[in-house]
Amino acid sequence: MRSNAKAFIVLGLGIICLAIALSPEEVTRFMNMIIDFTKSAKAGIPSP
Amino acid sequence: MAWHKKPKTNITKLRILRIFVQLIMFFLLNLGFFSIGATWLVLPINYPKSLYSSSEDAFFLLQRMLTDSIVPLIPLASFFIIGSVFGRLFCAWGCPFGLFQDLIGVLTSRIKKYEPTSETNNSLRQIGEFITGATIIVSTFIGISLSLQNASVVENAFGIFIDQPWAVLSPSVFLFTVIPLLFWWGGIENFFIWEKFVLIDLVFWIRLLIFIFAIILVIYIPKGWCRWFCPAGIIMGQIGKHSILGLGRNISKCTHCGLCEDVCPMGVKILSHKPEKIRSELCTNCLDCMAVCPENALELKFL
Ligand code: SF4
Ligand code: SF4
Ligand code: SF4
Repeated sequence: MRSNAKAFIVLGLGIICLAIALSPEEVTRFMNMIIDFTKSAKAGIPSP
Repeated sequence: MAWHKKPKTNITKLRILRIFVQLIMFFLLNLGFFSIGATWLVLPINYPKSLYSSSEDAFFLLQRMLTDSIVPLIPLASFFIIGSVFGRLFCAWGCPFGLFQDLIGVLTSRIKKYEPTSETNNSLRQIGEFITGATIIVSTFIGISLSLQNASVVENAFGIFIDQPWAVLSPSVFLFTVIPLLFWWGGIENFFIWEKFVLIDLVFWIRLLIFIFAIILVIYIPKGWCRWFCPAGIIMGQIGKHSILGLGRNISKCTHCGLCEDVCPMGVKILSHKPEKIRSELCTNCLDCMAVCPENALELKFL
């Protein structure tokens, strides 16, 4: 029972993180970063 | 007694099914091959950005965001939500580096495997915990330093660790990013021209050594890398041991034959856990134990 309570607390935290991350500015910033990241991964041998 | 044959067939079928599912996942994670490159899929697995990947590895993304001075909300959400509901399910059913280890296990199945004691498992896992903690601290420090100081000073100080510190040493980066880029770079027609090998430096050899170490480890200890060293596995283990989905053992059916512990690839001491739910940071919900149990005493359950 206690362990289940921990699971729900962590799940709640995850949903809060997701909710904040879904705000418009965060979404734009995140997508730009991923696109940038994808381009740099394809550009050549990564260092690192 | 005919029952002892049945579990063996069950487990073989399950392992084939699992490799099949992992291969499908590998295909889905590489949709970049069909020009579907950047997606929102952030998973708690060990699959760093590579040539065709269409997903993000939560731990590498976390490092990247921390070193860019961004609060890593998406990777944290991925760890928290997936871990609290499914535990380490993706480790068994969807992680490419887990698949790589499973395949090594299949190819070297004739070689005798060793099962470390629980104490050894626990002590060696501290190395993984150290790697995880150190990576997060260093990434945060880099992020803060970059926002406070002249970028070139910080870049000089951290060198190749500046972007994603653990990527420099991770064997999965070596396997999925460094090796493919080394051969694919410049197109298939330049697959093996020597000029690009001048780019190989000392870091390459260090990476290669760690990669070879990981392979030797996995040959003798099933899923050795996952048990002790993988940061995503360490984080997911801590969250996943309290997950909503998990295995329970029906004590009225269980005969304590120990078969389940013998087949567990992660070395979970199933019988020493409370029967209501196996709360182990190592359990990946692979279901091998369930498939082998002659009494059907193990069951997957929610809550
Ligand atoms: S613990 Fe193993 S299966 Fe899980 S993410 Fe790490 S490498 Fe993949
Ligand atoms: S759970 Fe099944 S396999 Fe494991 S000890 Fe009990 S009866 Fe044997
Ligand atoms: S306890 Fe069972 S489900 Fe968990 S890792 Fe071991 S064999 Fe797989």
